[in-house]
Amino acid sequence: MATQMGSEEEFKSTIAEYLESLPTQFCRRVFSNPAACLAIFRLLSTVGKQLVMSMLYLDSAIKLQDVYQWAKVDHQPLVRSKVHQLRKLQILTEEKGTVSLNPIFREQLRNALTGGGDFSSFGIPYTGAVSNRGVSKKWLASYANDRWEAILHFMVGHSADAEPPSESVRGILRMSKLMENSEEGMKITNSGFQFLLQDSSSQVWTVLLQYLRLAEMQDMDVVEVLNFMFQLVSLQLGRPYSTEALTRNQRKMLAELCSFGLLYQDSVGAPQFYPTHLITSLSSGSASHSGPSSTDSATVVGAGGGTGRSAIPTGSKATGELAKPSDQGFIILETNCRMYAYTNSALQIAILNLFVHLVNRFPNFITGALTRDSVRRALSRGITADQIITFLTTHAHPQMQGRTPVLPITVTDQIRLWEQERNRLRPTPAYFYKDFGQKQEYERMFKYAQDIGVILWASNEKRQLVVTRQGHAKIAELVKSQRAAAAAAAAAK
Amino acid sequence: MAKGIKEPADDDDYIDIDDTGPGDLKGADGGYAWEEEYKRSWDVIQEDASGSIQSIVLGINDQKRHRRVRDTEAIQRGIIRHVVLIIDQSENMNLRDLMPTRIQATLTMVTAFIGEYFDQNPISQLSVIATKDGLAEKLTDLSGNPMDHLGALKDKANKDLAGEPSLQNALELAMHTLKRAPTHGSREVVCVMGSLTTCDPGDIAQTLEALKASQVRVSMVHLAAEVHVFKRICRETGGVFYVAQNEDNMKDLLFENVPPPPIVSARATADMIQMGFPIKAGGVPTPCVCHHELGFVGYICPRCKSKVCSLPTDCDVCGLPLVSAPHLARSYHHLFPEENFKEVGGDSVDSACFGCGAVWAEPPNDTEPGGGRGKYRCPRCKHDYCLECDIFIHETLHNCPGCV
Amino acid sequence: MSEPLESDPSLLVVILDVNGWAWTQSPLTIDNALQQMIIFINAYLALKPENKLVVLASNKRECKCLYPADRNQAPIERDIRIYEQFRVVDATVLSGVQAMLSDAAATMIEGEEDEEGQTLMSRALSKALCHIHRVEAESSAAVKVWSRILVISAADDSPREYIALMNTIFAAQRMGVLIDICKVSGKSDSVFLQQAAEITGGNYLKVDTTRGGGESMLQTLMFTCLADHYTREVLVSPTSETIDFRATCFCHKRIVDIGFVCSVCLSIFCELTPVCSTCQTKFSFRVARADSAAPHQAVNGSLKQSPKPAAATAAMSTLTLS
Repeated sequence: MATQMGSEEEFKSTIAEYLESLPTQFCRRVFSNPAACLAIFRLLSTVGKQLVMSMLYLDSAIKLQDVYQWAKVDHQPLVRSKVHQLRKLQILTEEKGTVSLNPIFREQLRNALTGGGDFSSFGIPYTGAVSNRGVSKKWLASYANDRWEAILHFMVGHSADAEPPSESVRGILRMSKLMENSEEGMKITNSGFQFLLQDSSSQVWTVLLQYLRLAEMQDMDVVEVLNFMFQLVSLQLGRPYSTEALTRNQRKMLAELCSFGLLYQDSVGAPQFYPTHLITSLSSGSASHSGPSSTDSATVVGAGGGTGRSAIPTGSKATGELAKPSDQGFIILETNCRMYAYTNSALQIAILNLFVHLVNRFPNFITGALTRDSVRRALSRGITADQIITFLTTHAHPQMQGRTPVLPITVTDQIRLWEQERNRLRPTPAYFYKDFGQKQEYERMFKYAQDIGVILWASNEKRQLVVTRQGHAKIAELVKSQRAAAAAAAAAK
Repeated sequence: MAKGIKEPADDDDYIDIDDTGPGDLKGADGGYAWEEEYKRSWDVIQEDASGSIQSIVLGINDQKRHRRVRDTEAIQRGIIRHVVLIIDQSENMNLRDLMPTRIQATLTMVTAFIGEYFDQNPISQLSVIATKDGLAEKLTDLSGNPMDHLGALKDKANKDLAGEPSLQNALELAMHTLKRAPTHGSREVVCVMGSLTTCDPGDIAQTLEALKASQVRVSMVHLAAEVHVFKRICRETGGVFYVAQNEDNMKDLLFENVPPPPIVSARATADMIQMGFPIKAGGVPTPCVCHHELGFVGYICPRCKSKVCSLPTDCDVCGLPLVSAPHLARSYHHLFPEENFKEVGGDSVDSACFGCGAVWAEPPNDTEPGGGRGKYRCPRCKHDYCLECDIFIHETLHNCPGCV
Repeated sequence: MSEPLESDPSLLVVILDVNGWAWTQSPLTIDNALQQMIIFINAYLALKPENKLVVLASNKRECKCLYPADRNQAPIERDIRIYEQFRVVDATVLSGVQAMLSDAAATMIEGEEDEEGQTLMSRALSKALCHIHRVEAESSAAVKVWSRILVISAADDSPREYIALMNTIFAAQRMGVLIDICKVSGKSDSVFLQQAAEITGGNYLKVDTTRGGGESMLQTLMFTCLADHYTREVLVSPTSETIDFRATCFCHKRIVDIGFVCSVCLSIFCELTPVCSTCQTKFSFRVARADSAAPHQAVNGSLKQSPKPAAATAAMSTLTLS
């Protein structure tokens, strides 16, 4: 499943697809948890969210036609498709031309907004004595990053000096075809390279989805896993949560997610666990850990006035201390395809090495260039031009972030051209017709094929014709009927 | 590009902060500016002892502030304006010293200017004149509808440049246009010139006398250099003459003409102007008299009951100026400007900026001269604001949150 | 201005009218309205993790920023029924409103001021725009933050505020900020706020409290005010009733179709007068029309006095709409 995933959007739709594939009873059980409803709600598209919210406090069903009327004339198809999507997710139910929200979903989403419902749906904070080891947000961040990077390092094969990750991690990597077994241990696959280029939240989604599949295979209750997953996503960073109410499967999952660095436990079987920013950022977006609003948001005006760095509710302050320098963008790309990267992370260098011709390495700084060869090497591994461009854009140095477009347009165009270069030959399954007996027969055939638009190539001189596979059936039919007609005519004579 | 040269006729119109002095081409050491050694701007920046350029940044902030400290007396301004915009379309406008060409840059700026002009002066009028080949052509007559002018600028393409401009012809035409303007409104000409010459049929000095006699104020933004006769016309009619250094500077200079100038002449009279306040109509699509297109929304002229599609404008049938009450309100801030805030140090009653709630930074060091900066106090309500809010309040909001 | 993208985050400034007197006039209690507003805020935060929120509260004396607050008002609880982020916001806003209401009640007894409550709406809007300005100035160029303001208004218009309110409305329009108005009570529609919504392209809602209040306010808010800029491009907004932009004359308070406007201070009169009552300008005895063809001579023209702000303000505040 990890073969076709470019952006985060696609991941979200993949998890949405997963939900769509669930049978109705399963859906009901998933929806019975407010945290899950909230998390699913957040996966919807903007218009979809608005449709749900518009109907959330409507008690009666409304006509489907009326819902379509909410859209402006130009955008009706868009709204239709969104309504369709909601119905596939079983959030909307339709009955005799009227639609309403799934009653369980409605009730639980209302609970999520009002704070009603089951008291443990958003996790049970651990109030017992915390071990003397201080688990700060900062520490958690470095713990999570270490763990996560160790896995990525393992993937790019820099794990010689480090301990390989646990068997369950390797199992998931193998199952998701990010890595495969070979003679000299595990080897990264092409989809693994693509995985590396994604931002961390997309990567975490991949792992979680993979875990769901694993759970299915092991006959675990998928709903239990899903609900726990959605609950984890809505936890608060830096706070201990109690494990007392967890089921056996959930405890198992807890342990495995700990090995990915998504959660932290003091020891296996400890009564409390901590979510790390890797998992909490899935619900609160990009990099900021506390979403729209951090309470430590005292805005500071710099001494000169106006130079003061923010605060209002961006949470950027907190991000600053959590994110590693390398997360903040370190790549400078020039219009002449030269690239400079302020990093000394072996991982980042290894990733850059996928598509950059590296020239110099200094402490904390490397230089290189995007060349035709280096980019083609990446393309041949199945990495797409868009993935390269996205990676460079998201990791661009703050100095470059301010521009529009972020990357020099010459370079992005060139990368796309290099990609197209590889696609000069496009195979199309086709049928080749030759040796037409008469000129009329050829011409009739040619005209017919032209009319139905299936000609790929034709030569009048040689009386040869190449048609697509779709066209073949019809052409063959025509030939047959003509042959039959000719035979009948001959017989009549 | 020539150094920014300007001749401030109105002393509240300072813009060039780095200017050495009005009307003085002599440099600091007595020689002409172009005889001086080339100054490299990056050499001017001095790091302080700790290697920081904080003090320079503070200086830039000061400059930013200085720019917008304006006269805030409740002076009488000509709220109802009549402006003729003269655009040079001679061959000189083909030069590429402004990107992509002078004429392109000019047209972009003028388009922005027209939008801004009608935004801030909703009940004023504008006319556009182009000059090329020694002739002047009126592109649009005086009108209060921005769409007319924007359409004309787009329509004519104005790309075919030819010959020399004729400032005299253009000014005569402008004067003729402005003669019809009522006396309660201002009469102004704003020129954008790229040519260093003008090809005139007669004595431009006589035109200057006529301009003075009919109280027309001429301002000019020149794209190349100062020309004596242009500058004199501006000076003697009470306008301002600027030379643009680059595109950004040109925009600033042109936009100086957006707020209404104070009335200096004693001849200006006050009038009662008849205006219509139309009702918004909707429901059935009907054609409008301005574009002859069907539309749902429109405004019905109270005198002749014809429908126009946007406000403010003049009724195309009976000529009544049509405005809405908010349009009149839009001009009030020119009449009652906010007072300038004063920079203060030390403690203040507010724990944070009264506008945006930003918390004050601790003064880095009490002994340092920069300590406690960044607070600006409104003299009326005694509330403190940060620099961002200070600028915002005076340039966009026109309202002190503490005073209202 | 560029088109809003689906991924662009929003900034919502909620202005809550906490004028206790005005709420007593309303069939909807302030507690009830507050509850519904909290749910609305939670819904807004649920939309996008990047969404930003500012909550201002205003009564007739002061305007306070409730959220983001200086300190966290929410104690850590064991019983978590709600998403942590919602809980913090909700607790902060609620305690802020309570503090303001009790403050107002305390000073009321001391001061014995007139009960008639008008809310400092122009101050609240000005502050809201300052907040928006700061957020926009600080957000990176790559991500555009689309801002809007929601006003929950209970009190009546204050005519003194007309000019200030108009200035804020035009500033909002220039910044591309939508102003949604939710008028809960009050004797009549708020003409000023109606214009604010109309000019900035927002929605004006009058909550129909005759239907028993209940959750009708919440449903209306969810339906119309929750949508961000992008969604508003896609979905239809409720069509506003025809808003009358006709002016009222300063002399007789009549609504005029065709009026006479002083060229100096823009006061509106329904008939010709020799002297402007606002700025004391003497008029020439001739009605000027923009299309008057002949050049004309001034009859008398000396204008010595500049407009007096105080007098003008008072007079202009009557420039209301019918």
